[in-house]
Amino acid sequence: MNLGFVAGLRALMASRRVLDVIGHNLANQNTPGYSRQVALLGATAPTNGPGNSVLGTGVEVLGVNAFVNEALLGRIRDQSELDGRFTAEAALFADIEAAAADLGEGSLSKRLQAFFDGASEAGSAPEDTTRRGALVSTAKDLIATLHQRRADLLDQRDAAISQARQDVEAVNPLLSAIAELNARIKNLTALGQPSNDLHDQRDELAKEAARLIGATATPLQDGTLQVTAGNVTLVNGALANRLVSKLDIHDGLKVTIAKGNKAIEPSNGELGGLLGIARDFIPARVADLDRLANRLILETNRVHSTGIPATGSFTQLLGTNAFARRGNLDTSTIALADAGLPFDLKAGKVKFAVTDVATGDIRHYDITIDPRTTSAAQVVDRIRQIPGLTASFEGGRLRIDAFSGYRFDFSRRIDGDPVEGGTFGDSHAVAIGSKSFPLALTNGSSLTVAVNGGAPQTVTFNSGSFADISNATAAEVAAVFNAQVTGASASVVDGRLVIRGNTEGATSSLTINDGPGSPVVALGLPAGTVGGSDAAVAVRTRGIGADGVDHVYTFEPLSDGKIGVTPDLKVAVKDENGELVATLDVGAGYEPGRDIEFAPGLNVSFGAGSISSGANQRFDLEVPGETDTADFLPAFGLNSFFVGTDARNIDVDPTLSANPNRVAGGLFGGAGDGANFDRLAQLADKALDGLDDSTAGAFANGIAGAIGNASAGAKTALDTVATSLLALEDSRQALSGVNQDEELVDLQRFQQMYQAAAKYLSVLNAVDQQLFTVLP
Amino acid sequence: MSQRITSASQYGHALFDIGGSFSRLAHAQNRLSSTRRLSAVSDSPGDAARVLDLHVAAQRLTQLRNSVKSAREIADSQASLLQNASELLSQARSRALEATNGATSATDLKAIATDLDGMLDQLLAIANDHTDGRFTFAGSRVDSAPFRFTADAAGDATHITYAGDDVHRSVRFGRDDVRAVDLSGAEAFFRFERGPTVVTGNTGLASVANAADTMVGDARIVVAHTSTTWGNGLIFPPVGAGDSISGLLPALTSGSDTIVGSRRIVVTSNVPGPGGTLAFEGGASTPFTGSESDLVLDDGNGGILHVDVRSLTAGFNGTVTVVGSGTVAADGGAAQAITFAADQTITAKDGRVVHLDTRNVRLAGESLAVFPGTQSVFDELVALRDDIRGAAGFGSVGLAERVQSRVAGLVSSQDGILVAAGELGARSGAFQRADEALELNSITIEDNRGRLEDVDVAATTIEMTRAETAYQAALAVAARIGRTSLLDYI
Repeated sequence: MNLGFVAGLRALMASRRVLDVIGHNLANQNTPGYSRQVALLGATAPTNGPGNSVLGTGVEVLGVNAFVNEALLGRIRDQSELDGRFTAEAALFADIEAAAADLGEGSLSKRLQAFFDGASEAGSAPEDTTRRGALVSTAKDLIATLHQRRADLLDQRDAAISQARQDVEAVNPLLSAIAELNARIKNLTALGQPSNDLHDQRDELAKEAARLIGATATPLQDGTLQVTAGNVTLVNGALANRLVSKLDIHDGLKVTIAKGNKAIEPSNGELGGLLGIARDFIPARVADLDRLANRLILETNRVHSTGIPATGSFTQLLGTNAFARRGNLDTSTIALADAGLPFDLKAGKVKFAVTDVATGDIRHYDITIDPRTTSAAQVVDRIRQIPGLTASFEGGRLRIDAFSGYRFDFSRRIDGDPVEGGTFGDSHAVAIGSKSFPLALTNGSSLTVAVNGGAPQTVTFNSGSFADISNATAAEVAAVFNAQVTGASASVVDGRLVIRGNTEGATSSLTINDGPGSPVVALGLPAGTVGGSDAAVAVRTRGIGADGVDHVYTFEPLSDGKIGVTPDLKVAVKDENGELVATLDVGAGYEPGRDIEFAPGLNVSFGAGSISSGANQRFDLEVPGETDTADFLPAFGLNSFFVGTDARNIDVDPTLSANPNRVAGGLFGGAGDGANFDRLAQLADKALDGLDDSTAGAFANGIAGAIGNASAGAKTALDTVATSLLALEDSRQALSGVNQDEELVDLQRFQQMYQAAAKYLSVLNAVDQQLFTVLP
Repeated sequence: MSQRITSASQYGHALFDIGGSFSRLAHAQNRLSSTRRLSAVSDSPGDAARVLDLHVAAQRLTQLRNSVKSAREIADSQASLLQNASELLSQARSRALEATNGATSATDLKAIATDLDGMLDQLLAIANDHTDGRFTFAGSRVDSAPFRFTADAAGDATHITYAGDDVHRSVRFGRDDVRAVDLSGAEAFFRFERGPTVVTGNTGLASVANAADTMVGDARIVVAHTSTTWGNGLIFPPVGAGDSISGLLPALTSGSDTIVGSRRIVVTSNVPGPGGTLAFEGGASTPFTGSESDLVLDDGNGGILHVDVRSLTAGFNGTVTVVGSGTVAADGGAAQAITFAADQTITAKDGRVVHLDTRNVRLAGESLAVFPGTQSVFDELVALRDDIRGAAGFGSVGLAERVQSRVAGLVSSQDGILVAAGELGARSGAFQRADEALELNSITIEDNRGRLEDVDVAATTIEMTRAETAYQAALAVAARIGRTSLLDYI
């Protein structure tokens, strides 16, 4: 064959090959990840011609190259990781937001406020059972919202985990395919054969793997692509590690490679986004909800437990919180701090207000608690020492019962009729000792008492009547007195000896004179005659101490005289330290029965009648401060409003649901007393411990805000990543994309080349034929 | 966009732009159709936080306004009841004053007393008003009638006590702004403002101005005659028993004398004797024959002196001084000797005191001391009823005087009720003003919330139109991609 035919044939073949490449490009112009290819043409090696000439031998296709920028592909994969992450996050956050961050009527902060408003509303008509019921309903609405929010969040967590498992399942075929392509590419490369399309396929798979699980791909020298996630290699050469997912109690979902159990912890890709939300974001919000519910329960119960229901003080209370059961361990005997109660106790005290129903007298009894050393059993023992009360355990819960004739509560109300035993302005003749017990009496000492001017009766104190006469107690002295005297009786009031004639009126009297051993002096009794009066002074007290501190105020006349009559008649008020708190002018000019404020928030009034300092008259008034500084009541669930510990199990105490009149809306005990409702309502504005010094409503808004911010952040990030990806894809298209017009131009060009080659061959053939015709 | 454009990148951009513009269009449509600018917290977390706060604030204001309205209704209701009580008391006063007409018959008095008893029942019904399941004036003890009465054998109320307490309903306007809503029964009906003590009766006792009396309600002041001391002729003070100059002696029955304090007896002997006349100075003469051992001199005002004239010095003409001594006691308290002082303190059995001017005590008998503004309106009404009914039986005190003094007490009580009603009216006014202020706050909050949460219809309509235009443009552009290429020319 002559050289011209060879060159023409080569031109035909080359142009045909180029047209094939063009066709391939046109066919794949919309194939994702396809990189346009180009055939590289080159002149074939020349041959020697006649003389020293060199003759060309035609053209050939040297190779087919693809336009690929590996760095650009790497950046696209990086952005795909983020795209996967933010796409998943944006979708999931949108669902979470729809379920748990209501901006309208269903917002948690509005439900909280509705509850506090319900308390306020109930306080405006405490006697109205309907409004009390409405308060319980608002509380149940709030609880339902908390339950729903929590359940929705956990549902979303489950959905995220489910989606993550699907991603894991979806990425395994990709990894296998990448490994397979690695092998093929490696073989082709070894054979010197092109593998452009395989590279494109592999790159596309790697991009998808990056989007799904945040996998990183690194091209290696041998033409393979190594795929890793964190420090775990997923694809190495022709080998792919299969990923498996397993539900995990701590992490929600654990993703490991099947062989070796090595865990991957992706931060990007769909999997990274989903696991981040499932492991961190949702648990944090659930924890926030639980914290909110926990503080709400504690704070509400702190207030509620010290109130009094419309049904009055209690005859029985059963705690709602039980000790944790620990096998055979009797947790009632271990320190309260370790007893598994749902709320922590603090070192402090709880104050029981015990009412004697017959007299209306209220007495307060403190139980001191150190949770590190005090056990529940000790608490029960101490309650049993309170007159009128007993306590026991019932199914691990504390039960307190009042004996018949007694009631109890934990309120701060004071005794409105504080004078006991006739120790102040009584109508009976009363002699009151000024000394504190125990005190020393002498064996055989004696005194005389004449009642209403009658014959003196001798009271002798013998050591046989005392456990230790040198440390005689008031009760022992009173017993000795009562055994030897008729017409008068001795008792112990506020720790002092009080001798009171049995008859009343201005003509009644007691004449006490000392005898051997001077017991009158020892007891601090007034020597001589004390008289009664026709009417007792009615003393009334009311209010609640404003300083929140325990006080025992002592009221003592500073002289003798008649209330509202005697000029300059004054009553001194001293606190428990003997410090003068106030001096009350109750003499001429004072209208008997008028209130006088003797300390902030506390009032006293004195009715008409006579009082005497000479007879050691006085009375004590206990003013309780905070009644539960140990958090004893919420810890044991006594007189609770809420039961439970968190958003999962919070509920209204069933006794209140059954009877809204059991809601402790009062502080004083009247059916129309709504003072404690007001305290409950004020919780709306209180910055609560454990809620980052926020109010409950603000904290609830913070939860919604955290979800909204995360959602908005994911959307914004997704927009940014999408824009970035688009720009990167533009760049890739600019380099690797197929431009139809370009291909069509080339198509035309190489079609013409083909036609020219064919024509050239035709001409050569014609020339040859012409030559043949001249041959013989 | 790079300079080398491919159809794939064109389609990619078209898709991106179509998606973006469609998303913006849908968002604008949603906002417009829902009229809400924010439909989710993520739409604008900053604004959403504020919106959530405003929602809560609006809810609180709504509740507060409900509370204030409720408080106002309560205050108005109490004020209305007190106005009714006041009107009832006005009727009672008018009806009672009819009893002061001397021409009123016993039957009429009985009818008046019956009417007053009915008014007392009505007043009690007002005070024990039971509305919406609670006793209106009971403080916090709303589950039982706050005003209870003890009754006599006929079932008529004799004394009314308050069994409620002084705990108020309150409404909270802010952290430290808690305002009382209602008045307790004691504050409404037992509002005491002690007035000047009124002493009536003809014993000569009088009240002491500005004295620190502590007795309440009214007190029966009993002046008792204990002895009569005769002076000698014109000698004063008297020095002995019987008059050694005139010869007049006390009769054996002089223990029944009722005069208290110093009196002068004018003796006029007939000339020639025997007999003559005796008369209290300035009083009517009483003739005697000289043999009377127990001649009764009556001053016409209840002052009685028993005189033995048998030893009268013949022909004696002149003036003899006698002094009646006595005691005074109040409400069962110990009798105290009358000291004829400008301010004598009398103590009752319960230790309360009244200051009396005893300088002009003239007669033994009973006076009535009324202490206006010291007892409940109910007890005032009971006393008034009983006085008109005649149950009290104050001998020397005229019905008219008694009724008028009682009415004075009633006026004081009525004033107290009106003051209470005024306080409630003032509270109601304050609540109304507070409600108006709260309404303004609500409007402001709603305005702020609306600005943040509600859509600006005009702006969003324009935005939607623009989004729609952009969407249409994106679609149109997408439809034209690749429409012209080299294919058209090959």
